[in-house]
Amino acid sequence: MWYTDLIDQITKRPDAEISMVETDQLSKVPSFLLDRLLPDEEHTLVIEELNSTLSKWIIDPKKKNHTPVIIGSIDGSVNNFLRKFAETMGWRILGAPYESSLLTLDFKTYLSFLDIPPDQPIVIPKLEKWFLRHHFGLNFLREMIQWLRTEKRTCVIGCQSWAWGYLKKTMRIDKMFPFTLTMSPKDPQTLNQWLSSPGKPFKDISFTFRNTADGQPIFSLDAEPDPFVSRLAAHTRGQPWLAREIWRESLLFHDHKVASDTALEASLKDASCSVWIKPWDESELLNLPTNLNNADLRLIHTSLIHGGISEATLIETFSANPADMANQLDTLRNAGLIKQVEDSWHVSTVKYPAIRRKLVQEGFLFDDL
Amino acid sequence: MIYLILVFFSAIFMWIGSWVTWKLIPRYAAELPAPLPKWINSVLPLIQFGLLLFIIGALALTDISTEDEIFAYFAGGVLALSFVLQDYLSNLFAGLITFYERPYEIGDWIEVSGIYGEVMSIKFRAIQVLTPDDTLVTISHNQILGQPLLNNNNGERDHLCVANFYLHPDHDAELVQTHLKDVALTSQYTQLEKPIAVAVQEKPWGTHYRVKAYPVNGRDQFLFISDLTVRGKAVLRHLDVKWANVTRAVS
Repeated sequence: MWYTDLIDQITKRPDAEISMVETDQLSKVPSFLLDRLLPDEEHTLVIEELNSTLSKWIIDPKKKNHTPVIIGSIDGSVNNFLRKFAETMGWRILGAPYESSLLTLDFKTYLSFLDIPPDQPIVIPKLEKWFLRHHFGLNFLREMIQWLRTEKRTCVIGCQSWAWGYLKKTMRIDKMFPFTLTMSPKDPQTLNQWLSSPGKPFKDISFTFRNTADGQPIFSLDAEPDPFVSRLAAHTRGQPWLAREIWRESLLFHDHKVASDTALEASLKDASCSVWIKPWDESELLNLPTNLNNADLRLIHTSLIHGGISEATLIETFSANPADMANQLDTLRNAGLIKQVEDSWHVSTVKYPAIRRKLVQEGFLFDDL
Repeated sequence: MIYLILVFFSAIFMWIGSWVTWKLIPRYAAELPAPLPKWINSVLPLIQFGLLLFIIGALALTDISTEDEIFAYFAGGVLALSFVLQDYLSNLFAGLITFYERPYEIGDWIEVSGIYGEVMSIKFRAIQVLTPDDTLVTISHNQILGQPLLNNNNGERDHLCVANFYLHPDHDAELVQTHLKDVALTSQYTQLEKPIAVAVQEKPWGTHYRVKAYPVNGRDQFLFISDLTVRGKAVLRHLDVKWANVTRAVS
């Protein structure tokens, strides 16, 4: 309309190097390009801290009596790290049984299947998979913990933060395992530096991340972090994996109609290209549906404390009608709040900060990260 | 004539003011972080009272020129209102006492005169309580003041719920107590930040277990008690515990 064009003309900054871009001309960055624009997933931010602490624990005879528990976020990075740690050290990984067995199997029987040598150090990467929120669902984990304490076995445990919070209240697990490690949150400056360093940059093409509102670069080495990065750090509580995922979903690109990175390289050789980010307040990633009710929140909360849960187990623990449960899961998936990974339902990563805030606001038990 | 027009516009102003006070403000107040919604809802009656006084005062002052006339109008008005609105005024003053003492707030679950439900609104003359059967009951402040009032949660989001089990005395009480506690610990409704207890009492006819816990949301109290009861019974059946035979005890 003529008046919107007039408003655009008045508000446009004439001295901007790149003029305001129309966001309807932009589309999601293709997946082959995203790998080149994002920082490495397993960044040294996480790995160095964990390696350093565990190395000190291994050589300290006093600390050896305490089983360290690494409390991680819902992204599974602690699980990946501990598996690599176990492979490096030659320790045995002790995985949980199938979800469906947790209510019917006893730990002694399960142990007899595993045949673990008496002095074999072990790693339990996912403690959240050892229990169910069911009136018979805590017994298996209790038996396992009793076995660990009786055997006095060298062990490292990984546990997702929501499960740890739940087990603290239900089993006082923090009294049994007082030696816990958590990742310190990252400040905006650290996140700024990390996000501005793509893991696998192109050789001959430089990319600049720009704000769609004024065309200005997001990253400027000498300046304070951009407001978007500061808000991202606050919103994600300094969790780098979460910041990376939201950053990933926020990136927009002019569609160059190329299907691969080699074709893109060819078309943009020796060029500078812009990748766009909408201002924080315009992002749709942060909103939750207005019709989210307590039943939905309880389901989401259950998924969080289990680190993902199958539909069959949800039906069992909620004593729900299968058709009603399927409908509820579909509704939440269509709203972008949960996603299915194999047969397990997980909370959506990009919606996680908004979901966490809502759960805290409604009085649900939450984690410490 | 002008005066009639003024009265007409005053009525419209009062209607708009009431709508803003009781519909618009609570809607937007609900979006604010706690405890702002509670504070805002508690001053709504005062806001409406203030509006009423403002309109009465404005109407009275439009037709006054001397101090004697002011006094005359005021005295006459008070006398008329006292006769016409004596019941209403007594409720109004009872409401002001309630506002000062704050025995309940919006969102509290109270029981008065045998009526149990959630306080939905607190107005000049009366409060409105929504019962578990979805019935909206209006109770005047005067009626409440003269009776014992039970407040289940007193401004908190959650309040204590109890599920009762009556068992045959011949069983392992420690085992039952442990399992019933697990039932409460693992309920989807349980507020784990609050204490959970299983009280056991021996009676002539058997053993009475009371599972006491808090739900995350007080509005789920009945679902919570149902959940505890259903899963508690499943656990007790699994343990092969017999139920108390109460009819035998009565006879």
